[in-house]
Amino acid sequence: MTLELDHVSVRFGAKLAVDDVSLEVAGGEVLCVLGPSGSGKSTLLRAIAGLEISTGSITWAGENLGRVPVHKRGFALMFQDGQLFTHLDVAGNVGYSKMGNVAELLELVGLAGFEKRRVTDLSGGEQQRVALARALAAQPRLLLLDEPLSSLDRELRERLAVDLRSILRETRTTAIMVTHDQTEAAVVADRVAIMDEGRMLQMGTMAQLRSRPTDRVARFLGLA
Amino acid sequence: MAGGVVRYRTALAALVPLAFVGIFFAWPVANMIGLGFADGLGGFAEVFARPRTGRIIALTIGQAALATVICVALGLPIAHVLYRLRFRGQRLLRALVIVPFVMPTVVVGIAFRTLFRGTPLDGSFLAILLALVFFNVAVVVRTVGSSWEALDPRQEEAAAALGASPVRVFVTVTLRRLLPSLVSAASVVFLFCSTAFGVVLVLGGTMFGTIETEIWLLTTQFLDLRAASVLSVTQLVVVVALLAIAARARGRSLAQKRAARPRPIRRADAPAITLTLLTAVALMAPIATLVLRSLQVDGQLSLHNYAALGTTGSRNALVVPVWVALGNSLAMAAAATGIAVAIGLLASILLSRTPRSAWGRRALEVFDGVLMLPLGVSAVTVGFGFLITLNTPPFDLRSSVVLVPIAQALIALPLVVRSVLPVLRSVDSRMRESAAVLGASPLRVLATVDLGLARRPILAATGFAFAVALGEFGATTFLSRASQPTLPVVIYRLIGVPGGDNFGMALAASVVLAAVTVAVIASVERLHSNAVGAF
Repeated sequence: MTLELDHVSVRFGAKLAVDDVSLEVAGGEVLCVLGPSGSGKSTLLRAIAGLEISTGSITWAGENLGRVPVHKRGFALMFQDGQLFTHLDVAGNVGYSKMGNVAELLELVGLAGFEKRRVTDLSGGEQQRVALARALAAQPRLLLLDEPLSSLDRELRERLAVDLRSILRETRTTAIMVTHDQTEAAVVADRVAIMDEGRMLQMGTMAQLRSRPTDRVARFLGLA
Repeated sequence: MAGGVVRYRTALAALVPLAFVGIFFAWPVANMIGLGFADGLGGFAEVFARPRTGRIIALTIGQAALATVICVALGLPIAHVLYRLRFRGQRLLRALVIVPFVMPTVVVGIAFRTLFRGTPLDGSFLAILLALVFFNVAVVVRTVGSSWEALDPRQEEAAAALGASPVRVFVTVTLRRLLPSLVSAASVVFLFCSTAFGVVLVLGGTMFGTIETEIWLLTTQFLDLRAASVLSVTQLVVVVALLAIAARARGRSLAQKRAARPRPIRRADAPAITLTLLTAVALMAPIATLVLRSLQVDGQLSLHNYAALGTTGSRNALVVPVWVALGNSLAMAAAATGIAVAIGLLASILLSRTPRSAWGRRALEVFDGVLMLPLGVSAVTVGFGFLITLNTPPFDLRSSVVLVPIAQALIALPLVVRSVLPVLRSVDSRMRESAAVLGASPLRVLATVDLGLARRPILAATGFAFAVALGEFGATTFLSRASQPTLPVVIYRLIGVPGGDNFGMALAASVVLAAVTVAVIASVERLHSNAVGAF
């Protein structure tokens, strides 16, 4: 069960938002795509989800996903600001995919008993926990996380990063997380890919990247 | 001290629109209501016992409900095509769909009669229904479209990524979030359809009618003022209830953070695009037929109908030549526009302020509601109310020409407020404060900041008010004097006296009126304002 990207590019008019990216994510692995804003990392994630038209090939377990529509890919996507359905309550959101046990999932993300709460009454951290439970409920083959913690304040972000790591472990979820925060990446990821100006610069464990960075990566990581 | 002066001035400024709406709307309408209650509820019992009353009410509601359903069913896919997609020719297509909404009712009536002449559809229920849809599909497209345009597409993306099929995404996310604007649009369409007058009168004769045409018939043909009043009250109750529902639906609309960017078309859009194109063609058919027939006499191409506009018609159908009536129309519409814009601006400026006290905010809400009422109360009721009210000093205006522009201004007023107010409300108060800190007096702040930013919407509202006044028929037909008729009144008169050149003249006059209206609206649309047809 491996996700493979082979020479994937996304073009917006004259601009190449994602420029010839190739990577692999093995089953159960968590990959973090780390890069400054505007580096194309969110666009890459959207291309994997099937929300952007891309060139090159994206395959899952050998199956080419080029003609598979978003809702049939089995990849759940969690947005930076959650994108909870404000017209539904917490249970309505988590149960949207009609899969998974709502109560169990809420317990998993630390929100047991929140079923009937209105999502607009929740704090930012609670909203992101609901969004995570909703994404996990779909029992995705691959979970795509787009800056899931960026809208939260620092202290909460650090605590949630640890929670996120253990939840992904516990559920053995294969995931790609996009972030601009290297501390977050270090906590959550098995492997980190550094991206800038649409291109993939370097890939490896955080320790590998820190010990042997290329020039640009060193500058980005604040090592040079 | 300064606060006291400002409050005093504000109260004084509020007095002008309130007095206008009070004297020329609330008072006549109250008088008319009083007439219905002249002997308690006896009048109601008697009028409702008539079989014709029940039939007319059922017909009005059924007709409006059917037309509303069709408008929503057509309008939804068209709104998607015109507001969520991006393709060449989209602007033209938008214009074609919006144009019918501003067509004068009498012109549309004549156009449909011309289109269906000699077919079983002429004078049928279906013809009226189609004409109502013709007018109102634009309301759904504009209202739903502008709210669709602002929907954050990531909600749909999130649903799709959770495994929801496109149909499920549409029903559970998109449609659910469009619901407030959909309800709002549907209630406005129902309102317009159930109070339709000119088009029903021209197309339906006495066979098919609405409460509106029935009020007209009872007043002018049978002089049964009490029954007319009972029907007016009934209509008023229905309309106020509907407006309340529409206002609540608007209030519940979900806040949006960022707008979508329209996307290029895909193969899956083909059915919706085809439907949009077909609708545009169908909407143009009556107008095209009208223009073609106006250029024909006995099957021959001829400008004779237009030449005849300088005459008073066959069998002296008219008192003045048609061109004179056009002059009257332009003059009266100009006066009406002046009144509506002046009062509408004053009211909008007041409504855009946020008073400190809860009492002040409550007062403004009520003021806002009062200003919207003329939109809901039928033009015929207004015209009828004028007749029975403004006949004693100091307002003995029945024989005065000012009544027509005043009635037209009253009908245009809510439209002016609706297009100017949102812009004034969106002005950041810090911008006013910076101007004041730079030394601008309150009046200068108003002129340079508020009115400066709202210049385009004000111009657009002016054009829209002018077009509405120009085509106004319901109230004008009650109030215009025989020696100074407006163009819509003359057109109706021409088809009422058959024979000779009269029908041909009515066609030519309709084309002239439509052309003037379209010219006005086209210049408004160049301002890129969404003033026309969105509620």
